[in-house]
Amino acid sequence: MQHSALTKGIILCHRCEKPAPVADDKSTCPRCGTRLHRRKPHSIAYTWSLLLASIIMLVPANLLPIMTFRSLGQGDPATIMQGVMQLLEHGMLGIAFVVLAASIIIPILKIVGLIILLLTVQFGWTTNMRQKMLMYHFVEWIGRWSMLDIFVVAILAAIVQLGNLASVTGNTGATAFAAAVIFTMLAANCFDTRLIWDKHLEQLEVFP
Amino acid sequence: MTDHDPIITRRHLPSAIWFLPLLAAIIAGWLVYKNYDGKGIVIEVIFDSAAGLEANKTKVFYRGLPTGVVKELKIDNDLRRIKALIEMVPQTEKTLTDQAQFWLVKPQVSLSGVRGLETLLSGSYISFQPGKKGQHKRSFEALDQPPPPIKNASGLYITLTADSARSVYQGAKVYFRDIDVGEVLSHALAADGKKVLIETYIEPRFTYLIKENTRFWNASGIKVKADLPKIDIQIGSLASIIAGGIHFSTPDETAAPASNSQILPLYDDYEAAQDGIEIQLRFPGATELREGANVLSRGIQIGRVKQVTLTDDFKHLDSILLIDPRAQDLLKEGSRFWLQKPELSLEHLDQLGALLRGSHIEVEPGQGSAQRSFTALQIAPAKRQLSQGKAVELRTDQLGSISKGSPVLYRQLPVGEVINYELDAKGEQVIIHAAIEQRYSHLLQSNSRFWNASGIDLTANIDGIELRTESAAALFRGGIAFFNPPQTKKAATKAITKGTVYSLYSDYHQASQQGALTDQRFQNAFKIRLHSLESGSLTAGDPILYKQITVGEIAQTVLNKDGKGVTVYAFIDPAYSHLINEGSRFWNASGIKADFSLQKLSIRSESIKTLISGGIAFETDYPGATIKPNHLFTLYQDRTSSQQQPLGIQVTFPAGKNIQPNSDVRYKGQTVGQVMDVAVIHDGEALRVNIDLFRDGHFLARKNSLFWVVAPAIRLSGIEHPSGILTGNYIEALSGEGPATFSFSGSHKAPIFQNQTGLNLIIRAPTLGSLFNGSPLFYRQVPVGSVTGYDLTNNGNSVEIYVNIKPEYALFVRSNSQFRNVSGVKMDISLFGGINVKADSLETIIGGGLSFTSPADSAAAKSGDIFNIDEM
Repeated sequence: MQHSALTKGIILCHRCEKPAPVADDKSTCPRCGTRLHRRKPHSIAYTWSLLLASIIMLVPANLLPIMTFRSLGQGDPATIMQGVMQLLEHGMLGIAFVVLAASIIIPILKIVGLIILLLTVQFGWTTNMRQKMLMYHFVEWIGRWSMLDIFVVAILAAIVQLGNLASVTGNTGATAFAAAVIFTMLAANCFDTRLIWDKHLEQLEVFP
Repeated sequence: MTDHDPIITRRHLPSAIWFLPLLAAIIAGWLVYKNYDGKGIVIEVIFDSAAGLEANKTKVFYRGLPTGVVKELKIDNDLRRIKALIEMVPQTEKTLTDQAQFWLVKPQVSLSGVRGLETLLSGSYISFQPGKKGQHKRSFEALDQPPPPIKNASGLYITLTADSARSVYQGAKVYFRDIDVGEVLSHALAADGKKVLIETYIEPRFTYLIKENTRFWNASGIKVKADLPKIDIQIGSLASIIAGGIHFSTPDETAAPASNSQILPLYDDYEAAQDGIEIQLRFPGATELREGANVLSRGIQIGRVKQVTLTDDFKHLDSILLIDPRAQDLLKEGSRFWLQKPELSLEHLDQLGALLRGSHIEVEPGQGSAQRSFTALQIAPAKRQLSQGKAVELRTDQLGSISKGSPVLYRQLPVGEVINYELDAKGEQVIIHAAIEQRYSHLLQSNSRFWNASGIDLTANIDGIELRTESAAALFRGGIAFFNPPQTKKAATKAITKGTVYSLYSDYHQASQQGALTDQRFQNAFKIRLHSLESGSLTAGDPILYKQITVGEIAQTVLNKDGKGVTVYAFIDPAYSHLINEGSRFWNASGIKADFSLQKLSIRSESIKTLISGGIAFETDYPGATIKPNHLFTLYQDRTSSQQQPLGIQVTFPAGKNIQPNSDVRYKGQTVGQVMDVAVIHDGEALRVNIDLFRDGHFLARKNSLFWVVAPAIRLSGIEHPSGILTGNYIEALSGEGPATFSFSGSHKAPIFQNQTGLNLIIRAPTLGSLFNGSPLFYRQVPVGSVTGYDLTNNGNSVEIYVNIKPEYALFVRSNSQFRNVSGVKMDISLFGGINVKADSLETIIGGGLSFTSPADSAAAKSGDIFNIDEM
């Protein structure tokens, strides 16, 4: 017999993680006074909208140049993919792979993963729930690494200002990319994993 | 009824969170739109070649601003040209008309400068010239070369027409008084192909210089105009030589300023531009003046005669001269003009050019305000005459090329001239009258020496070839030069009387007494004389060397009056005079001296210069008394003989022992001389040996000195004089007392009694035994002396043995010492005593020897004491 805390009549405070008895909806945490919710409120809607926003922002992030590197007056704005291609041209396979993974593969994986989770909750799929939990934790953990690109651009733009000799400037693509990453991270944060299990428990009719 | 049913309220409005994706979509859409809005218009430009073009790299610039980039390069359909797809920025859309022009800018390095230098780094780029109006189009053809710059900068644009472009091309500068005021924008053939049209741009701040009548001429390169009287070389600025250039001048500055796009002619050169300030010059009617005659000032052409017109009354000739604007300072109130006709005279041969050229107008600049109208002088102004100068009379044998007017030069500066010349009454000498200008008259002194400075004086010797000429003028015209040797006291007292007669020497060397008079070194130099048997290759000017450093010079070599020797006069630099004292030895350092003997081989020469040209070297071995000037030294043939300072003596030896030339003469083992030669005399009975005694051996040249031949001897006890085995016999000498003499008779044997240091004793013995020269003398078996000789006594009864006791052992010999012969083995055989064998040492058994015993308490023996040995 599977149970959740809720089925036992216990709510966990979001803030201080104090278990509290289930009361009416207006109850607050007896320790920190935070409003208590059985589940994160509007979790699915927030996650969907943030995910959507990040998908939208990924378009300019990949289409627009993120950085311009100029050396001796030479150099053009480059998009992420162009940067990867340039790295490949210079034979730097490893770095090219890192950039490709951090900037393109991971954001897409994250989005796809979150969509799967959201669909799971929406349609009440009850298969592979344990793997889905693992996926969620992976998505949440790896999300921060996508900011790698932004750090690189920010640091280079700050440091490499040698006038005509070499200069790096960030472009709008970086902003869009940063927004996309932030949105996916927020989306992952908004998602309440317990919802995956709720449906399962519902089907088991253990829910009160 | 259903109070407990949950109240389900359904919100129809979506959550506010859905604004977020909307906002994101709006922002992203705007970003993308903004980015792609910047994407421009794609056009195609056709190039002949894709060289320098690169897709996604090559940019299009308009006035340095990027306005597009080449996106793609394709070969045109007909495979002959390149089609470049270029994405232009949207702002250019309106200017992409059929007037728009594209051309490729490549780095271009030419003599006039580097263009498109930036493309060296950035690569070629496409330059874009927007079209102003016309039909819009998207396909263009690139130009081969840059179009002429747009005439929209302020400034003046004028078009020059010329027959040929002649190194005036785009970028060539326009100069005014050598200041860069503009440049050539382009040049092209005129439509009919008969003229070249040169588009020129004048900078705004200089536009006022250009008038409607401004004359331009091409100043490119160097223009050499050679005709008979002169060579005219016109050079613009260095930049214009290299890059070409256009000069201009405006004859009439009141003319209207030139307007934009005015067409003006470009002349081939300055003269063709007929440039100049017009001045009026009035000549007398009968002047032979032709148009085109030159106007010269001090030989420099400053203009020409433009026009000649006779006045109506035929009395005057009015001419218009064109004067180079640069010479306008000459055109002053006081300036004088006259017609210089060429005249040929021996005195003025230098005007040969004028003769060929014809008459010209000469200008003498004057003072006053500027003037443009002049009246020419009737005749040339009288030439400046020599001001009251100092007359000089010179006498010489030959006039040479000196003529009237020949200059008198002092340090190659003309200070006077030859006035006249004549033969003296007897016709033996030429008297030249010359005058020295007043301001230079102080240069003339009573001891001044004159020489004929005409022609070239060539002196060739080992030091090099010295070519001496006075000024080039003197070379051709002849001249007299003079110098003043330093004043001696004698000369200083002698005042210059008027009309002092000087000799004119034929050349500088004579005048200066081979330079001795002029060379300042010689004035203070220390003079010495050297006596030599022959002068060898020594000549005046050869160096005196001290440790191979030149410290002086030979002044002259003079044969002595008796003809037996040569006296060399030499100067020593005062700085080195302290090196010479009475002990100095001089030798002829000419040539190579090779000294070869068994003991040594040395080849020595002084410097290469002395090897060839000769020289004198000297050494000062020891401090000696200082010498007075003109001290007479002996000059030795070589360094060795200078060291040896040989004294020749003659010794006659009886024949028998071999003596070779170069054998040593020794005194107590020290070489003091050398056998020079050996001659057999008296039918082989005797040898006459000439010996050079070295300086150390000079004392041997006295009466009673003894000479004998020493030959190596090999005995049982050893080898005597072993060095003689290799080097041959030598002569030993012993000094005598008495007056100096140079002829001796020698012997084969050493003198019996040699007065050696130590104790010299005579021992009388019945027989010599096995003693010989050098047999030892023992005292307690220690060798203390040796036998130095032996001889029979006069009566033949006994033998006298001469012994020498070394000084340190002399004390052991007493007046009653007993000597005995210890040679060999002494055997006493007696009936009762048996056999008693006595022998001293093995050496004495073989070599023999003497021994002595001394009783105590007796007086010490003296040299010359005689001792007896009773039995051997």
